[in-house]
Amino acid sequence: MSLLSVRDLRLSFGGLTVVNGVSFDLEPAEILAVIGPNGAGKTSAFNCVTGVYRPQRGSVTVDGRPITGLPPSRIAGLGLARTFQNLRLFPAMSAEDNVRAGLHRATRQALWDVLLHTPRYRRSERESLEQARHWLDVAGYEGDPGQPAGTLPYGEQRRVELARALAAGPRVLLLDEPAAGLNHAERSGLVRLIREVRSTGVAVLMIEHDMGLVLELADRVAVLDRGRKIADGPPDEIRTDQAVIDAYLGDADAAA
Amino acid sequence: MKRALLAFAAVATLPVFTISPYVLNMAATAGIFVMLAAGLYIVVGYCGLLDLGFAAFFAIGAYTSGILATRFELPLVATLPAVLCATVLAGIVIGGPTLRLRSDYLAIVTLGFGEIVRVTATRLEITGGPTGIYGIPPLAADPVAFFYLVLVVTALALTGAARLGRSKLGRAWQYVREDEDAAEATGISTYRVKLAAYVLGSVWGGLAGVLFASQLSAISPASFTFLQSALVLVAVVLGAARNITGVILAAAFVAVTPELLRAFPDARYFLFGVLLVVVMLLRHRRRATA
Amino acid sequence: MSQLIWNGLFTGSFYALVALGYSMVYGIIRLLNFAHGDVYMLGAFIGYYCLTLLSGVTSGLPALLIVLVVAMLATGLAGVGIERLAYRPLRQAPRLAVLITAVGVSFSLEYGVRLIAGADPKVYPVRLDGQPVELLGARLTAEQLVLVAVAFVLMGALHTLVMRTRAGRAMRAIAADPKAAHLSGIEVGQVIARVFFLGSALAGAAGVMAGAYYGRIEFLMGFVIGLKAFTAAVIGGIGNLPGAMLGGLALGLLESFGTGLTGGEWRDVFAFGCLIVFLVARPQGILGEKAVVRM
Repeated sequence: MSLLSVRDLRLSFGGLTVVNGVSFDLEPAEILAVIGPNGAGKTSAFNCVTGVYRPQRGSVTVDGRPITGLPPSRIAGLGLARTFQNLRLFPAMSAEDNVRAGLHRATRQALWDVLLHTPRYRRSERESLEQARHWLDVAGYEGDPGQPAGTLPYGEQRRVELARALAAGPRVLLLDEPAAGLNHAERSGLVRLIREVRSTGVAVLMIEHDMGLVLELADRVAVLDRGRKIADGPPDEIRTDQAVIDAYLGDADAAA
Repeated sequence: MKRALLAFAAVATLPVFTISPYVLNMAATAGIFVMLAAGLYIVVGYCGLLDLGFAAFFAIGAYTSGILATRFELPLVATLPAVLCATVLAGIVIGGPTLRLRSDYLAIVTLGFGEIVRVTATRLEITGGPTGIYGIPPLAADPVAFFYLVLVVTALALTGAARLGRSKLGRAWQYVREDEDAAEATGISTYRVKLAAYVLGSVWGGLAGVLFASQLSAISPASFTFLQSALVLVAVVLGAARNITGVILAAAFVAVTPELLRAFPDARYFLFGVLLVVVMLLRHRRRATA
Repeated sequence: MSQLIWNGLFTGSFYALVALGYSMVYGIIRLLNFAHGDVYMLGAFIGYYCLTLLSGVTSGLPALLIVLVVAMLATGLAGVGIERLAYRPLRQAPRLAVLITAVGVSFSLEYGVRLIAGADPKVYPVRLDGQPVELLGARLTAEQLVLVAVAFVLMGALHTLVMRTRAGRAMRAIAADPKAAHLSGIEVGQVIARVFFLGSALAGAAGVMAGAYYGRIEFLMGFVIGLKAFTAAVIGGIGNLPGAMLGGLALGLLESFGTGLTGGEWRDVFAFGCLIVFLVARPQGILGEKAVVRM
C-alpha cells in the first residue's frame, strides 16, 4: 500500500476536461516530479489531491484511506502540506506568525488558559514561537522573523512559505513550482533543503518546469499532457521517451 | 499594557471631578458601546467577517436577562448563565449554516437576522411587544457604582478580546482574514474558526446587552435597530487599523458624538453619514499616496 | 386567492425594479450598494414634491406618469452622482471600506431627506382609487393595472437595452471580465456610470409607484425594500437580470401568500427567512448554475 495513491482522477469545468484519468503512487522518502506543458492539468491534479477541487471521478487515498471529498484542512491534517504556485502568505502578519499557521494543529490552547494567561498558555506560546523560528532557519530564512511577510523580498517569501509547510510536520510535501523566480544561489539552497527533507522519510511531490532541477532531484517523473499521463518512470527513461519529446516539441520549457 | 493601565486609571478618576448623573450615565453608555465594539472587533477586525446585524446579539442578551429577571424576580446577575447559553446558541444557529457562504452574502444574512430578531421582539408577547420590558432590576443602584461596574466589565472584555487575538485561535482568525484558502490548505478548519469568532463575538454582545438592560431598566425593540448595528460597525471600522486601541477611541467617539450633536436633532445622523463617507474617502486617499 | 396573486404581483414588481439595480451594480463592480433602497425612497419623495407642484395643473394618472419620468431622471442623476463622489475614488480600496462608505451614503440620504421633509410620513397626493373592476375574481383599479404594465415595460426595456445594444454589450463585457474589457478599449468608468443611472432610475420609478400604491411615504421606507430587493436578486441569482425580475416577482408572491397564511405582522420575518433559507440551500439562485469548484 502506497503512502499516497491517486487513481483514475478526472476533473472537468463545464465542458472542459482538465484532468482525465490520471493515476500515480508515491512512497515514503520518494521524490516524484510532475512535468508537462502549460495547461496540462498539473496544478488542477494537485488541487484535487489537496481537496481544493473535488474530482468528478477517481480516488485519492493516504495509507489506503480515501480522502476525496474531505475539506482541505482535514487533508492537511492527514499529513499533506503544500506550497502554492503564486505564493499565498498572510501578508500583514509576521514571518514567524505565518509559520505558526503550520503549527496550528499541533498547538493545544484552552480558552481559559488564553483568557487568564496561565503558565500553560505562556509555555505553549513560547514553544510555538521557538518552533516557528526553527523552521524558518531550516528553510534558510535570513530576515527578521517579526517582519510582515508581505514586505519581504521574493526569495524570503518563498522560504517562509516552505517553512510554513514544513512546520506542519507533513508526510507528503507538495510543492507547486518551488524554483520559479529563484536565483542560482537560492535554487541550490532549495535542492539541499528538498534532499534534507526527503532524508527524514518525507515524500515529495513537486510540479516543476525547470528540467535541470527535475533531473537532478527526482526519483521518478510523471509527464502530463492535456489532462492525461503520457509517461511515468525514472528521469533517464523520461528524457528519451518519444511521447514526451512529442508533447514538448515547440514548447519553450523543453529548452530549459 | 502599561498604557492600557494608565488609560484605565485615568478614566477611573472621572467621579472625582464630577458625580453628575448625566456625565456618568454618558460615560457608562460609551463604556457599553466600547464593549459591543470589542465583541464585533473579534468578528470583523480579527476574522474579517462582515456582520451587519450585531445588535441582534445585544438584543438577545438584554431580553434574556430582562425577561428572566422580571418574570422570576431574579437579580440580574443570576441571569448571566442563561444569557451565556442564549447567545452561544444564537451564534451557532445563525452562524452554523451561513458561515459557509461567501463573505458579502454573510453580510446580508446577518442584516436579515438582525431584522428578524427585532421584528420578533416587537410581535411576541413574552418580549412585551413594541413597548418592551420595564422594571428590570439594576446591577448597581448608585450611578457611581454602576459607572465603576461598567468600567471594570468593559476593561475585562477588552483585555479578553486582545488576549484572544494573541492566541492560537486569534492567529487563526487573522489567517482567515488574510487568505482563507491558504489558511484552509495549512490545516486550519476555517469554518470552525469562523464559527468560534462568531460565537465569541455574540457572547461579548450579549453581556453588553445585560449592562444595557441594567442601565436603562427598560428595553424595547427601538434600541436594537439596524442603526445600532451600523454604529457599532462604524466604530470598529473607523478604529480598526487592525488595532484594538483605535477601536476603543472610535467607539467612544461614535457613542458620544450623536449625544453632543443633540443640539441639532434633525441633522445629527445626516452629518454622521456624511462624516463617515468623508473619513473613508480621506483615509483611502492617504493610503493611495503613501 | 386571485387577490393574493395580484397583491403579490404589485409588490413583486416593485421589488423587481429595485432588485434590477442592485443586481446590475453587483454584477459590474461587485458592490453591495447599500444605499440603493434609499434611492427608491428618494424617488418617492421627488415624486411627492413634483405631484404637489402639479396639483393645480393636472392630476390622476397623467400627472403620475409625467412625474414618473421626472423622478426617474432625477434619481438616475443622483445615482451617477453617488457613484462619482463616494464609490469611484474607492475603486481599489478593500471591499469592507466601500461597503462602509455605502452605509454612510445610506445614512446621508435617509437623514438628509428627513432634514428637508421631516420625520412624519407624508400622504401621497395621488390616489389610485378609480372605479374598481372585477378581474379573475380580484378587485383592481385601472390605474393599478397601468402601473404594473409600466413596471413590466420598464423591465422589458432594460432587458432589450442590455442584450441588444452596444452599451449593453459593454456592460456585459465588464461584468464578465473588467480587465479584459478595459484592454479592449471600453470606457469602464463611463459604463459604470450608465449602470448606476439605469439602476437608480428604475429604483426611483419603483419609489413613485410604491408611493401611489401604498399612499404613504417616509424617509426610512428604503431600508426594508433594499433588503428585500437584495433577497430578490439572490433568489434570482445575483448579477443575473432576468433572475432579478423573476426573483422580485417570486418574493412578492411568496410574501403575499405567506401573509395570507400567517398574518401581515410576520411578513418581513417571512421574507428574510426566505432569504436565509435560499442563501444556504441554493446560493446560486434559481437561474444560476451550480459550480463545480469548492472555493
